Amino acid sequence: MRLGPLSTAELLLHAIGAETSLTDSVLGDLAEEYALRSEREGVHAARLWYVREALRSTPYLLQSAIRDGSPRTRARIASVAGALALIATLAVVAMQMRDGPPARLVADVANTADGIIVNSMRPALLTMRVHDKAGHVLPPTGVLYQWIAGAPIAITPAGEVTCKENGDATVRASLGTISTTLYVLCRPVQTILASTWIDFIAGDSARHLPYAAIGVDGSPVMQLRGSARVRDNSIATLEGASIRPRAVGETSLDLIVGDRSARMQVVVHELVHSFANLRADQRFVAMNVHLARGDEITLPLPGGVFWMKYVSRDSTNAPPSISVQGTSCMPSDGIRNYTVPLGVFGSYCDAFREKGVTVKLEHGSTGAAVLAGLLMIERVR
Amino acid sequence: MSPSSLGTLELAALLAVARLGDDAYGLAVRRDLTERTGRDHSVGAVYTTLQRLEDKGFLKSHASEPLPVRGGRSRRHFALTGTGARALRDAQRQSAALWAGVGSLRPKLS
Repeated sequence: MRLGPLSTAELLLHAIGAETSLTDSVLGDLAEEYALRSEREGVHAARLWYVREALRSTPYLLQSAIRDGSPRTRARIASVAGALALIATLAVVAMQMRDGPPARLVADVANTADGIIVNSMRPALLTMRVHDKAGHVLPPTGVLYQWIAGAPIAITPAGEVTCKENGDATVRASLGTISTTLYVLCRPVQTILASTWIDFIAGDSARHLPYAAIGVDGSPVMQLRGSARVRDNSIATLEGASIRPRAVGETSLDLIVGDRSARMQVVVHELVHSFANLRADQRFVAMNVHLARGDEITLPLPGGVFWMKYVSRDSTNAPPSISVQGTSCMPSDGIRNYTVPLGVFGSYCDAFREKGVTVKLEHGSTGAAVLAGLLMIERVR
Repeated sequence: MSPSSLGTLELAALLAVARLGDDAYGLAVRRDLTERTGRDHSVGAVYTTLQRLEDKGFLKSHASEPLPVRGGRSRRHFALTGTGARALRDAQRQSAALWAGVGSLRPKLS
């Protein structure tokens, strides 16, 4: 017979599958001694004893229930234990997930010791990562910035930096009682000189991205912070500051440094022995060209519309004299140097799907003993 | 059942029940054990031991009338069975046999 509602301890004992008679005996003993201790030592001490005794007794009761219980009892114990473990895990996770107050400010760059590089000519926003003591990332709101020393760069309290010329400055970032010192390296980039094309033969090794960032003083800027992205990674992939061809085809590469950007066309060509009788799907093809002084060769070209490029193996060598017969090319007087710093020569030709179109390459009586390069065709249609 | 199958706490609990007679219920057994062994056994440990002894046939139990001091719960009184009494006698004999011939436990000086 029970006089009052089930106590928590009783519910727990039932939950783990302890027998009713055992539960009654244990709880009865606990209640009896609790009453004695309350009288003798006070309610507080008696309560402490009760809790301690209940905790001490649990493993024995569990062991007994597991050993002597029915499969149903064991299943109930397993589910209760699982639920308790889940609750404990969730409690630990919740404690760990809970964000604390800001404890650390970190510059949002890979290596803070190198400083924060600013390449933008326009005002750029410094960003910080805010962490609590446990390392959780907090919203970076309320961070205040202040110039301390170095080059006199303009910086607003919200962290907007304007770099007009090269220079290094020390800046303090603070949020409440925490603060940190940043090194801001102003390296404004005025222009990106980049190749119009990056031409590969299938199987070529990776090559450094063909571009140069030019600063406000006209000299190359070596400390850069930006991003590059290849649109189709099945054709080529980035490996740090290099690009590696993967398959014949074309894609583009977008490069962003500061507030400047450049787009380069990436073309991976199939090396062929002749441009005659190309299949329709052979859109990107290239032939080796090897001319001794005084040599000339005439090669058949496909009909249709195509780009034709000559890339010298040695960038110090001028291209051979190149002329196209039987069609029109732009510029009309032959292949021109398209991207001066990077030594690519190209022409846009429209052969009106005619047959009998040829290209003649001639090495004059002067210049290098041998001209070696690649004649490339990129068929538009 | 051989007395050697009794654990130390089981033997002590069985002796406590024998000693307490009609007053042998969990709390009293626990107090007796604490006084005699100097160890504070938990209520759970004492009851699971008593339950085990009952399962082995050494003890039998019955419930008293519900008591207000126990929150309206009954006391579970334990009593030795014939098997339990035999097991205690065997344990006593075995213990005496083991102790026979053992004189002073002072270490010998060489």
